[in-house]
Amino acid sequence: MKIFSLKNLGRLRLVFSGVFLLTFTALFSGFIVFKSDAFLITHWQVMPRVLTAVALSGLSTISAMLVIAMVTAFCGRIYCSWICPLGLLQDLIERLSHKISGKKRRYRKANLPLRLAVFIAVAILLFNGFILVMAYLEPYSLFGKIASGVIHAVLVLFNQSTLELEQNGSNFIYNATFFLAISGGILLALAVISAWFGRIFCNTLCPAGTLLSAIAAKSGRRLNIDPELCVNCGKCEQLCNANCINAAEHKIDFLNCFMCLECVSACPKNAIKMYRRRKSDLQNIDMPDQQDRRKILIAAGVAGVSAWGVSKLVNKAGKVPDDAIAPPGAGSVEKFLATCTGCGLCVSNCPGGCLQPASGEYGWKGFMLPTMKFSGKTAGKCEYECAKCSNLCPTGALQKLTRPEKKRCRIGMAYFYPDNCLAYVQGKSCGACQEHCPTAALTMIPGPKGATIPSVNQDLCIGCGNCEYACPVTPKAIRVKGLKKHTQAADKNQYAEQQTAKTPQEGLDFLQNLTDEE
Amino acid sequence: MNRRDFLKTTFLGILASGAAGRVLQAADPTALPDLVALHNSTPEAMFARGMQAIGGMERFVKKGSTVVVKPNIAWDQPPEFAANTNPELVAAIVKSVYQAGAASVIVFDHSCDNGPACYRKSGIAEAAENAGAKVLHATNKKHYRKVTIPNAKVMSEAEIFEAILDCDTFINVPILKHHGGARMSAAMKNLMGIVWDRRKMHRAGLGDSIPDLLSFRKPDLNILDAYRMIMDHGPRGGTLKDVALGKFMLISPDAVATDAVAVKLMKYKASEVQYLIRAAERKLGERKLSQLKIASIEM
Repeated sequence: MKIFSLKNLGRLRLVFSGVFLLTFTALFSGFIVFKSDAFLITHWQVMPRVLTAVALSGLSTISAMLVIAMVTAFCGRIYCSWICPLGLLQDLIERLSHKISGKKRRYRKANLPLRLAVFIAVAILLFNGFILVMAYLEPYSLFGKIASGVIHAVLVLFNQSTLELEQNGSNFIYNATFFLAISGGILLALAVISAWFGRIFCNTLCPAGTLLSAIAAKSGRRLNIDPELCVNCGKCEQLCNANCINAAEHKIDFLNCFMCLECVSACPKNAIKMYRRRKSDLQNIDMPDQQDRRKILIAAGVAGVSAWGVSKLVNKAGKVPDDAIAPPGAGSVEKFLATCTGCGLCVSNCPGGCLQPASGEYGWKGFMLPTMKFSGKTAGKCEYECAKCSNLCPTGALQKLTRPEKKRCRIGMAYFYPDNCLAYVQGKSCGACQEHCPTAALTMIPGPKGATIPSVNQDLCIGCGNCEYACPVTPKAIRVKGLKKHTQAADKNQYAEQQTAKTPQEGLDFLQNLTDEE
Repeated sequence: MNRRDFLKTTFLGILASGAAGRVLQAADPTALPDLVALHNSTPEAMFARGMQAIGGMERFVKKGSTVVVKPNIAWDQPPEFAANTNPELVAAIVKSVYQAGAASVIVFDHSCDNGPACYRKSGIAEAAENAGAKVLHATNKKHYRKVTIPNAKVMSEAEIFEAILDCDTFINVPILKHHGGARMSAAMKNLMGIVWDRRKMHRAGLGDSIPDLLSFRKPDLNILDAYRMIMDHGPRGGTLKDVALGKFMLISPDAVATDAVAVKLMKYKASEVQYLIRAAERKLGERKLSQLKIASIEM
């Protein structure tokens, strides 16, 4: 028996994808806190790579995408069953539901017109600034939402004694109900679809799936059934959760096949083998006939035109509020909203707990994309010594910042609202805002009622929100407004050099002549 | 009485009073200074010398007891920026507490920045653990218990870190620094690290809420680290320009007295520090320097 037989590869796939799924879950749920980069895991995701290429408008960043494309061109959609976390999750749900119900799977002809229409509509909407279609169709980001929203919330609720969670404590408990509701909804919908229809999501809606199918259509090697060996037992068809095996006609629809290799393992006669494309004739695949092609063209045309029209019309209604705060590394709110798919990786790894999915902060166009929340029940603050989010981001929505760069990256500006300030209005000694300011942008100056009040040095403020977070009153007396375009703040050390240093006592001689002051 | 008897009784009397004096000195803490001020050496050396002068660690720590050493670990800053207590000093205190016979020593602070990051960057977690202390994280609300503060003026309820409530001896190890809101952060201000909801204290005004907290649980011993001092942009600081090498240390069982002398080290007036004045008014400690027996040790 060969070690690298297809049957063994099928087993390897189970182990490989299992490890991948666990690591992903750990990464997204905040169970393991990654110190800086999760490169090895997030780098191999199709749509984040494509978006990075768009964001950085260069090919240098898509080397991983090229590898995936080459593998797909060689032997099909390996990504979809070996690497894609959402694919693995659907596999689990689907296999479990079939085990329980005992239902047999049947071949289902792919709906190519619908699939192409969806893909074209997604592309056009994306082009017109509707990142949300990516955020809710792209599998990696969907999985991220489920893992950071559902699994993470459950972990926090039931397993607080886990070391990392214990150490980070409350910072992890953000916005739980809202996030849980949305993510739970996504999980539920996905579970229902995959339990009843297998991986129809992957073969109809998923943009990564469609993209890879297009490449797989021309792949050099593919699985097929040897009619000579086949005894028509139908086991392969009953096992295939892509519903792409037509056992009666000895056909495998290679556009929809994920190379999970379950059929290979199941076949009692070893009739399912890899063929070179030249040898396996094309009619073995369900290729569209003349009539189908007309349908596809019409569907694509209608989808394209209507997506264009809708996006132009609705775009006008999707105004982003002026004071929206995009995370450091975004560059500008506009760029951020064009590239972030809201996978939530930065959210579950934010040690300050301020990065949270937006409800209305970006307007509806940025629904559930991460924003900085410094006020409210679930508020957090941006840790000054941390630049994790920008280093974790897999889509290029946040570009890598070194820590010194991040410390001067101005994402917003703090404004003082004296009418809300206890020190200003009631003369209570407070200073929480200045206490937490890491850039020395805040200084305390004499206030009207005896207590000191804050004053903002706009050269030094980076909008990190430590002041707003610490402010003890509601509504806050100091608030950060986001900047549309991020800028660079002055260097606080240079600033400090211009000031005269204050000195303490030089010795204990002062203790010799003490007087009691009143 | 003849001359011989007179001499005899006088001699015996002197002897007796001398002996009694000695006995008194050893047994009566009033003979010890209220506060020891030290200058011009390393934190460890000043601590060792100062503890000797205040009556030794045994005066505060009973054999087999549980002791909390509560430094300032509020900020994600390295030691040279003086935002957190000196880690070597914390280690020296932990060792000394164990030598005095304590069964367990706990070190914690409710940090302002991300807790684990502060514990790491300050160097305190490592130093304290190496010295044998149990370092507890204080970032989870479940480790705090709600208490009522009987004689509170503005804060009648607070959630206090459980180790403080359960310990036998509470040793407060603050660092002295400028504070934009309260003017100065020293012994009393450091108590804010034992409560869960600090915003509540700010809301109530630090001038009254800090004395409230002190009235609930006075530290048994205050060891004020003023080796490095943030003179401006405190309590977080962040530039070396604001850090002065003061090389001071104050040791006292009285937090109010500690702060009253700390004010002088910073060259401030007591009247600038609202919570100090109000704590003294409430008789939570002595701030009148003329009333204090201060041992001043230049090294």
